[in-house]
Amino acid sequence: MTPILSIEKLTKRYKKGDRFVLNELSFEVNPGEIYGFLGPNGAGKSTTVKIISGLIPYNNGAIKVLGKDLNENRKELKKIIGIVPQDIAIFPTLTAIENLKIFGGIYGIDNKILKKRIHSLLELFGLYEHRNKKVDHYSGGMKRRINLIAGMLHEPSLLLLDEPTVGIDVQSKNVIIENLKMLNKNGTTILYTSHNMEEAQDFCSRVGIIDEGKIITEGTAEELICRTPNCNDLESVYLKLTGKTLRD
Amino acid sequence: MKSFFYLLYKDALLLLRDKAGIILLFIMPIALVLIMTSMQDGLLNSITNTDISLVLLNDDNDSIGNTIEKELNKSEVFDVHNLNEMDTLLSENGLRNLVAQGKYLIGIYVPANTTQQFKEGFRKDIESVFDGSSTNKLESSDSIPIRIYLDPTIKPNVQSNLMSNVREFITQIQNQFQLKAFSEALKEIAGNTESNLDLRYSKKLIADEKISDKKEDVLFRPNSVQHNVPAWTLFAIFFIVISLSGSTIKEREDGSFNRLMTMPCSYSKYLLSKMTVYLFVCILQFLIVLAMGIWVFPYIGLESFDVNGIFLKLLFVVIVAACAAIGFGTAISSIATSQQQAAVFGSVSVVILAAIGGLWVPTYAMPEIFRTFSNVSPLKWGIDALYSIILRKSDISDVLAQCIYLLIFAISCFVIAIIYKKFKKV
Repeated sequence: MTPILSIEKLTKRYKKGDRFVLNELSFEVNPGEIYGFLGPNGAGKSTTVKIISGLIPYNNGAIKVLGKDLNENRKELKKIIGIVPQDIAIFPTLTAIENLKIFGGIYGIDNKILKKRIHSLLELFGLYEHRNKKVDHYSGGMKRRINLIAGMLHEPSLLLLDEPTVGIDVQSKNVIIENLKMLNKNGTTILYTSHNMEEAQDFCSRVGIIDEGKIITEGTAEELICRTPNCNDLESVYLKLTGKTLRD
Repeated sequence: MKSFFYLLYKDALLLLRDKAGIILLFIMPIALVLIMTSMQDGLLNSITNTDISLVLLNDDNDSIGNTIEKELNKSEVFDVHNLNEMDTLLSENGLRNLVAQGKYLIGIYVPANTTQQFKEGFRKDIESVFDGSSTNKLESSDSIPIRIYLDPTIKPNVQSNLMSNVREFITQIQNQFQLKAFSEALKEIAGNTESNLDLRYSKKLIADEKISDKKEDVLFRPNSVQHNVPAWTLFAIFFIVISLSGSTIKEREDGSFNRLMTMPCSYSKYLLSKMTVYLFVCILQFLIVLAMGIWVFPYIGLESFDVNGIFLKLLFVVIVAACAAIGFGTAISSIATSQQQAAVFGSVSVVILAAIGGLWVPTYAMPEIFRTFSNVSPLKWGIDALYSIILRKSDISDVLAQCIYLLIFAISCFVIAIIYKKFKKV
């Protein structure tokens, strides 16, 4: 089976002489998976997501999506990748409907289909009532939800989620996770970064822990717990492998 | 194409939601053109004729021509440029064109053999008086034309002021010359005998006043409306840099720019959409200011702005100037790191470029150093092109040079913006 995302020996450093943020990073995400990409601050999670998104260049290595080189087929592959960045990336002075119309339109979704899809997603994420409010006036949780809808509007085959539930209440978090699970059941592969180990253990079908730009371990949550002595959950595995020293 | 349409929709919506931006883009030029035109209506009329640029072509190269040249050089009123020293191949027509193009306010042409003709005529007159074939008045049969050309953009009252200066100057030279020639002629013909000849009727140097019009002798007399309508249109057009750079940086700061870049949307498409929306804004600004000039000004005691036959030419220059302004705004948004930085740099730079470009005070009324300096301002290129069309009825081909400068400026700005974007994308 061709992996939907394949990262091979990816290296990245921001300036010559700086340390490598990504140091020959390699991992694969298979179709239908929810791959948890976990690691402490500065481990290289967001950098990896930004590189796959095409926002920053990398120094060496290869990225393949559905077996195709991402750099060479960026235009075509952009259409099947959805991105939900860590920071809210929505036009704040526009309403939810206007934002989604624009993003959907840029993806080239047919107007009728787009209208229906916007309607159902807004209902699903509990935002339909607020569809004509400017996003600026939304609460933190509502902004996270609209940020997520914008990334999945075009029904991508691969969805990259960079800490999608950070800083929101339990209710919003629950709505987001439940809907992401449903999206995955419908065939979307998810690459998910988070610091929330409990959420990752529950949500991800497989996880990879990254530290200092390298994958240090990989497998299902159960496998990792079994493999690591004296650990009974993903958080203890994570702490054992990455240490308790503060990372900034 | 569909994605481009949605980018346009996005940019138009964002602009419409920016109330402060709308006020800045549309209300400010209306207020400025009204206030400044009313104020400058009086001010432009009182511009004095100090440090007037004058070009001289002396084809006589004899006493009269040389004296005029020498005396003009001594004068503190005129900034004299001698065409004989600049370009020996130039003719009277060349001088006329230089004035018509607005490079000099006055052109003086001293034809060949002026001195010779004057001497011969004067001698004949004196001889005829002494041999009794004439009255005791010197009758001039041949006129010696010194031709003066004036820039058509000079206000009528400034024109008459200038002409009286030039006339007075030439009369002085003429009197000096007549006295000298008369004294020599008397010495030669009648020894030291004095005569009661009436010099008022002697052969005169004729100052042939002409307006250096370009076509069909059509004379457009500029007024404060004709200065301020194009000036504030350009100012408003360049002021879009604040709104444009502000909105671009805002998109960068709120992350929506990055989201767009992860979608099937290239940076060039993104820029093109912004350009299209702001180009439309610039055209709208031009139409609003123009409408003020045509329909509102007459109600407040100002002259109406006449666009007969020049509307499309003005529109063309406005579009080119808008490209330059959009390029400038794009470069600022690429270089600036915050909205505040872009707003401060954008507004200050546009005000300075407008001031040195002659939007506040026409460049011909500026000191020489500022006139030279003004050539670096793209607003100067714009106002020169608009002036030329409004006042001299020039064609697009006549203002092509200014348009090309503006386009080069626009392209350079876009290149800077793209390089900076690549440089930032580490």
